[in-house]
Amino acid sequence: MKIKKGKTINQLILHVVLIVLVIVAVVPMLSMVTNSLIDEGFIMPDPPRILPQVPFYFKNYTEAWNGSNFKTYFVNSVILATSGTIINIIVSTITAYGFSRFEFPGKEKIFNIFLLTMMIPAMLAIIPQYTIINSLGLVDSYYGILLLYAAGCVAGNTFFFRGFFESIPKELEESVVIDGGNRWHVLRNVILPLSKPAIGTMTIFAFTGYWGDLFTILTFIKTEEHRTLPVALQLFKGQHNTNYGLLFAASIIVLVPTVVIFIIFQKQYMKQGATDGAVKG
Amino acid sequence: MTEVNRNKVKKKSIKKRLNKGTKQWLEVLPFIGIGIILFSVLVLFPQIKNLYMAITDYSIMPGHVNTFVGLINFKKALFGFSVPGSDSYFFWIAFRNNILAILVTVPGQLVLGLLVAVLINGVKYGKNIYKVLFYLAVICDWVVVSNIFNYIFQSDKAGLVNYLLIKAHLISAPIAWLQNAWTANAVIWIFCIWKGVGWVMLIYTAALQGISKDLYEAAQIDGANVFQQFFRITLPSLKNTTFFLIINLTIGAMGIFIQVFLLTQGGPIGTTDVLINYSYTRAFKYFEFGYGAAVSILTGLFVFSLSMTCKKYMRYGQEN
Repeated sequence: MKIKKGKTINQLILHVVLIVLVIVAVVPMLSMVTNSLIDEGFIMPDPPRILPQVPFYFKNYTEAWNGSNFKTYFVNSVILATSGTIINIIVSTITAYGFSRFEFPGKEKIFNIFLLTMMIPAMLAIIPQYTIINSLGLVDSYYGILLLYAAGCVAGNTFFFRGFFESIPKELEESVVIDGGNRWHVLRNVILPLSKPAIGTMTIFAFTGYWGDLFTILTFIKTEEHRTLPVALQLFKGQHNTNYGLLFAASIIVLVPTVVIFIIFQKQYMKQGATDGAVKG
Repeated sequence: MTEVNRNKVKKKSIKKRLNKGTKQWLEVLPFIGIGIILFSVLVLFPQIKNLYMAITDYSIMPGHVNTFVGLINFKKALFGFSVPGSDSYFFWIAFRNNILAILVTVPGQLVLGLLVAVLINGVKYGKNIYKVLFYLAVICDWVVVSNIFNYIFQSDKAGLVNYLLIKAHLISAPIAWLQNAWTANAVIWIFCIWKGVGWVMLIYTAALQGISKDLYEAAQIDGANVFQQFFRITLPSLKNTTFFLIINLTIGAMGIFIQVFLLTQGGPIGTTDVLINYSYTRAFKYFEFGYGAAVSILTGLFVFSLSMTCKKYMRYGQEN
């Protein structure tokens, strides 16, 4: 009885400390939500508010949504993030299948080069990447961006999928081969269906990564109408004064898809975080 | 088998192996071809082209002939830092800031992440909800959260942080956080730590679950208290995880870019700049592609040797 009581108190202390830490962790985001619901114009409320108060002011949201080109940017983001994700998954699963089920000279050497490039921040290549895309005449085009996305995912995702594919027993493929199927049939009918969890995880990560991508767009896209949401958010920031209510309302609209996907797939997120390096700059 | 026969077999097998290699490549090429071409052209080749750009007066203007300039760009970055305002001066300030970011944010994230992970591991109920709440910062877009930090570190007394500190009587007048070199650096560090703790926590909670309960039970029987258990069992068991985290967080701290780009743009006067932002700005704002590339190469070499050194120690750690 005594031990049990001690344990309950311990648990209580743990929860109190955790809740204090959670508050520190989420207060910045809470302050964003609160401010998005205040009609503050360019003058911030003094003293600052952390918790939202009624009446909520939703006009920031409608104003942000109807603001200059915001809907266009939203559609652009959806198109780019979706097509980027699809290309990413196709390229990386096919490549990873090659590395997991075929023997060929130089295989491990190429794989090691993949791993080495993962140790250098990807941003360092952006200057020559710009010149290459420029010489292909693809600056200011989504094709250029998609090429960069597809190329950028090869090393890391091949590494990720190869490990997963190699854990699938080879015997499962034999029935397809006996029925006269080739390697593509094996990939499509055996490997991919069995890799749904891994593909799901990577889909989430790729999509949220592209959704929030600022620098590729900022560097490679010149036309205003081709911009995406992360770039558009910067436009809400004034030179000297910022209407934070409006900026935060727009930010929350940008954040909604990411957070919704996160909450639905949180288990996958957590698993992925634990197995993959996931150094995202 | 006689000696002659063996030689014959050997010769035959080399030829066979070559043929076999070609055949294998032809078989696998439809699968890995696209990936390898994309990777080579847009990931591997750029690293080589960086070098070419750094040793020429590179320009993207059509018709411009890139003449060889030797190591001038590297010299410009590395030497002459004693002159305030020189290129080298700003290069080394950026380098210093990256090193400081490693020294502050890596231990910061490790300690806080471990603390949170141990606490979460200790509670009976609500593990998952805590994990989700701490991980929320990790998944939020960088652009969004940097705007939030811009807001809460406003310079006047209506800024959230200033308000709270004044209320707690820790400061008497509002601090212009982002306008002063050291406070701005501090904000960048706090930002990095705040955004990264969730990821560290997650890796540690996974590792903590892997530690056998028997160890703790045995220690309890021997009368070890909570702290002894932590330092004698938990910490040593997390050694490999910690090495993994140190490597990744160090590469992350060398890769700091968007934080600086969105919070301070390297200002005031380059005092909060970091290497990648410095290189990017010189290339895309001032169109000094060669110099930017040279800075990129120096950064890449440094990160690479740093992570190799870490790797070496990690192997060393695993052997013991």
